[in-house]
Formats: sequence, C-alpha cells, structure tokens
Amino acid sequence: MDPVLQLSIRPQWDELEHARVQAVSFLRGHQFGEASVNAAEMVVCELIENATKYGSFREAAEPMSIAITVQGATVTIEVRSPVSSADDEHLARLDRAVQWIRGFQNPFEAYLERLREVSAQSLESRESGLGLVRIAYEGQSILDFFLIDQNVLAVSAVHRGQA
Amino acid sequence: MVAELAEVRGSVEAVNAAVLLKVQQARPHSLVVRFDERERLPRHGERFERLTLQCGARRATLGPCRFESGEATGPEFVEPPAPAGSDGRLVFLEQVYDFSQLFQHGRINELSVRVRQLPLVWGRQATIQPAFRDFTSQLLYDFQVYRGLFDGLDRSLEHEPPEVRTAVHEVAIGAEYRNFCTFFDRQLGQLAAAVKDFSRQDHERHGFYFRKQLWDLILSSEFMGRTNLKPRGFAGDSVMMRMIYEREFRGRSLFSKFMHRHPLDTVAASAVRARRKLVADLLHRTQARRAEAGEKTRVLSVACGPAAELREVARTKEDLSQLEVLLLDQDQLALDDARDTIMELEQRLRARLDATLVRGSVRTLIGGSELSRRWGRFDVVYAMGLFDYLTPPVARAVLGKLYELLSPGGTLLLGNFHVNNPTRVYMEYWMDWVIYHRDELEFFELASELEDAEVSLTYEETGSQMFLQVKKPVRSGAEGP
Repeated sequence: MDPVLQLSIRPQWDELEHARVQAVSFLRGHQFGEASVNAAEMVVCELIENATKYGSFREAAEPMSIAITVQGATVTIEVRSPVSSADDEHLARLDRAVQWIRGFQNPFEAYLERLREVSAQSLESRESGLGLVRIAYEGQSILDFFLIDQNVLAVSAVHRGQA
Repeated sequence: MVAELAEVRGSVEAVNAAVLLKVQQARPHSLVVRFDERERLPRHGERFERLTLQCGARRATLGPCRFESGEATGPEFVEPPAPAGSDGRLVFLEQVYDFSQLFQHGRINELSVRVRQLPLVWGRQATIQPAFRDFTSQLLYDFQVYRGLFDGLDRSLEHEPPEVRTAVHEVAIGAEYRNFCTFFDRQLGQLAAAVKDFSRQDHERHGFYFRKQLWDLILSSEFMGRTNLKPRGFAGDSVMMRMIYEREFRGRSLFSKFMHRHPLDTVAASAVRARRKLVADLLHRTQARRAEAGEKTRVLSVACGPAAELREVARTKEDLSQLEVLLLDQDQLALDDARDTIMELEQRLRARLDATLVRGSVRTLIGGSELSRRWGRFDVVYAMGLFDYLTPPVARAVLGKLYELLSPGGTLLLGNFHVNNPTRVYMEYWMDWVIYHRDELEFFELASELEDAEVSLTYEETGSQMFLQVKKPVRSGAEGP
C-alpha cells in the first residue's frame, strides 16, 4: 500500500468531510487499530479546520494540501495552506502555543489550562486554541510547524500509532 | 511582538453612583487605576459593589472591591513603581481574581474556576498503575527522610552566625553530596526500571502523577523548579543553560543545594557542557583555513542562547577579531545574555567582535526566501540545542534552509540527543522536560535530500548526544550566484 496519501481540497466544509473519509480508509488500509485511526482522524480534522480559519485564501477555489505519511508505526499529518505577511501576529501566537503545549510531558496540563481560559471572563474575542491542544492531548501527536517561502504555512502532527 | 490591549477602561459602582476610571497597570491580584473625575476622587478605603471593565465592545464584570490610595507598606515588600498619575489600587473583597493575563490576553482568571477543576485532576489517579503508586510512595518516603535529616541540621544552624553556617554547609557538601548522588541515582535507576515498558500515553499519565506527588521536592531545586514552571514559556531557556554551565550549589538550605546541583551532574548536562568544545574545535579549524586566505570566518549560531561557547572559541585577540558572528534566538532575554558574553570577551581580550544579534523564531524565519541576501553566507552554521525540539518534517525543512546558507566548503553542525540518553527518564519525569530524541538513522535521514552534501555523524564523549556534520562541497550544484 502507498505510504503517502496526498490530498488537495478547497477550504469548504463538504471537502473537509471528503478528506476525513479518505484519511480514515487510508489508515485502516495500513492496519492501524481503531484508537490510532480515531486519533489521527481527529488530528486531520483539527488541522484542516485551523487552516480554513486562519489561512489567507485569495479565492474560494484556492486549495490547501494535505499529506498523510506512514513510516513504520509513525503517522505524519501535514496541512499546507496559504498565509500572508499580514498574519505575523497569528504566526507568532501559533509559535508560542506550539512550544507551550509541547513544553508539558503530559498535554493534559495544557488542556486544563485551556479549559480554564474558556470559562474565564475575557475582554478579547480570541480563539481559545483548544483545537491545537486536542491534537496533542486526545490525538496523542506532537505538533510542529514552519513557514515555507513566506506565503505557505505547513502545520504538522506526528503520531506514534498502534496496530 | 505580543499584541497587548491598548486600553482597559471601566467604572466602579456604589449604590447610587458610578465612577469612571482607566486601568493603568494590572498587578497579579489588584488593579492600579486612575479616575476620570479629578474633583471627586474616592476616599481611601471606599467600598464599591462592582467593577465593570471594558475594552472595545467587550465587557467583564467583577465583584465587590475597595479603593486603596497611597503606598503599600510592609517589612519585606517593595511596591513596584506605579505609572505616573495613578490614584491607587482596587483590591477585591469576595473573589480571588488573577489579572496577570489582563493586558496580554484580555483575560481575568478566577480562583474558583481552578477549584472547580480539582475533581478532573483527582480523577487522574484512577489511571495510575498500583505498582507505580507504591513505587512513588516509597520513593517519596525515602526522599522525605533524607530531607528531614538535612533540614534538622539547617534548623540548628539558625543559631549560628552566617560564617559558621557557610562553613558547615561546605563541609556537609564535601562529606555528603556524593552519598546523596548515590542515593538519587539509585532512585532514578528504579524509576527507569518501573517505566521501561510504558507506552507514550502511560509515560504522560504517570509522569503527571509523579510530579504532583513530588511537587515540593521539585520546587526545592531552583533548577528543576524552573524546568517545571517554564517562566518563559519553554524549557531550556538561557537561565537554565547558564545554570548547567555554572554547575553550582544553589539554594538556602543544604537539601535545596543538593537538589539544585544533582540534575546538573547528569550525563545530559555534561553533554551540554562538552558540546561547547566541539563547536570551538570546528571554528578553530575553519578559522585557521580562512585566516590563511586572509579572510574572516563568518559564523551563524541558530537558537544561540547565552552563546557560552564563544568563550572557548575566542581565546586570543586574533581569534576574536577574525570572527564575524550572527546570533539568532527567539528570546530577547537570551540575546541579552549573549550580548553579556560578548562584552565580557571583548573586555578581557581587548578586541572587538563583529557580532550581529537577531531576534526571530526558526520556524517562521526560514520561510524567508531572501535570507542569504539579507545575511550573506556562512563558513560555519551551528545549532546545538535546536533539533531536539523539531519534529522530522520541520527539522528536514530547517536543515535544508541552513544548508542553503552555507558558503561553498562550509560546514553545518547540528546537535541532537540520542534515544539512549541515560538522563531521559529523569528529564521527563522530574524536570517535565521533553525533547525529541533521535537515533542515528533518523538523524541521517533528515539530510537525505540535500544535494552533494557530505554528511557524517559523531558523538560527544558520553555518547548521549550526536552531532550531524554536513559539509557543502567547494563546487556545488546547489551553490547560489
């Protein structure tokens, strides 16, 4: 079976659904157990939702690309989406969030903190960032990202799967 | 870089009046304010039923508070300076609020929310294996007995003058630190054995439980307290690196001195100290070659931290003046430390170092396609404590970009802890410090797509850390204009 599933989708909810279904059958095909398939499925959805929310798509038809790579027991999920230089603040926040989440041996601690933030009174209507924490905590994956040539953001999650 | 709320305004309300105000400063649990109406200032001690805060269209309502004017006093309390024009502070009477994230994130945290979360944390106990619970409780008992003994000594030393206390501490360190290490190392060996078959999820759960149990032991160590609390948002900040280099006995009590020092005497910590020499050796070799050609050596250090290796690199005035360094780090405070290192070197050697300090994050910076136009190319690029934090897709991309920044004939040197790092369990369970360990194959694989590169791998003497050396040929297909 092919070790890589490469998808290109537009930032629309029905296409997200299509990507989710393909990801699940791809991972099942690689003989991963239900727990790993469920975890990876959630990670795929969160990464795509994040890219849809924060990406700077110039038009509705501009795609994002998704690559799911299986290497031994390791599944790497990477979503690439367009960003503009106006997103510096978002990138800086993403950078802090990723390092902060990964700073805990147990991402449950980041999860607790985010839950607290959700119930706190706030003077800013900012996203909770709970999605990224779920990737680490429920998705059992290590988050990372980098910027490619100023205008493409690659966010990835590495998951150590179980049969 | 951090976007802060520009202005937080609000009003305090009593039974039949509201007073408009501006929050000038958020202290951890009180707010420094200035009232709008200068003729009708509230009295010191005046009580209000509520405070409403406003920023743009969003509001937050807080409970009863009291206005306090004038300086706070206390035997050991020095009030941080209030902004000019402030009238005093609001102290809250029925709820414990935490304002530390008010300006940065617009958030007001409440103690009661944390209290409501407790059952969720208590529930974690159910996921802990009974054998591990027993192990932790035995370990805790042994440590507390050890601590009780030393704390007893410290209590009796309170009746002695400071000179005697210092002298006795020194004697006790000389006589007992080795025994303490033997004890601690045996405990670590047992911990490693107890968790050796754990899955990643097991490690996460049991590590969390372990640290909750040992929390006050961990906090007694200045070093481990910092790796756990991560005041700058990540482990491995420049203060921790400094502690590793300085390797002192720090702390008030004898026990805290031992607890601070022990993690600095590990294999991983000595590997961190040893790698400075490796960088220095590479730079000396390159410098000798470049100096023959009458050229300076251009060096890039990525995630430079306090740049302590420069002390080993520049031993003479000539060493210093033949270097041109660019130091990159995401943390301004680390760059300040690096600036101190450079100034100290310049004073000692009476020469100037051509140094540029750049603040930036590797993950966002490498996207810049014109990096080499901005920075030029380098004879040596090194990153010692960076790849331990990058997952393969990101590490591969960063490696590719750094390779592009090499001059023909230049060398890239990257450090990464090995999967067999014997300090790993100690770091993860006690220090809450998780890094991305690699084996030889995984490290090599990161460079597999580089054109013409000559890749080799070495170990530092403890074997816990690997170094990938990537050389760019003098004539290269990947060579830029």
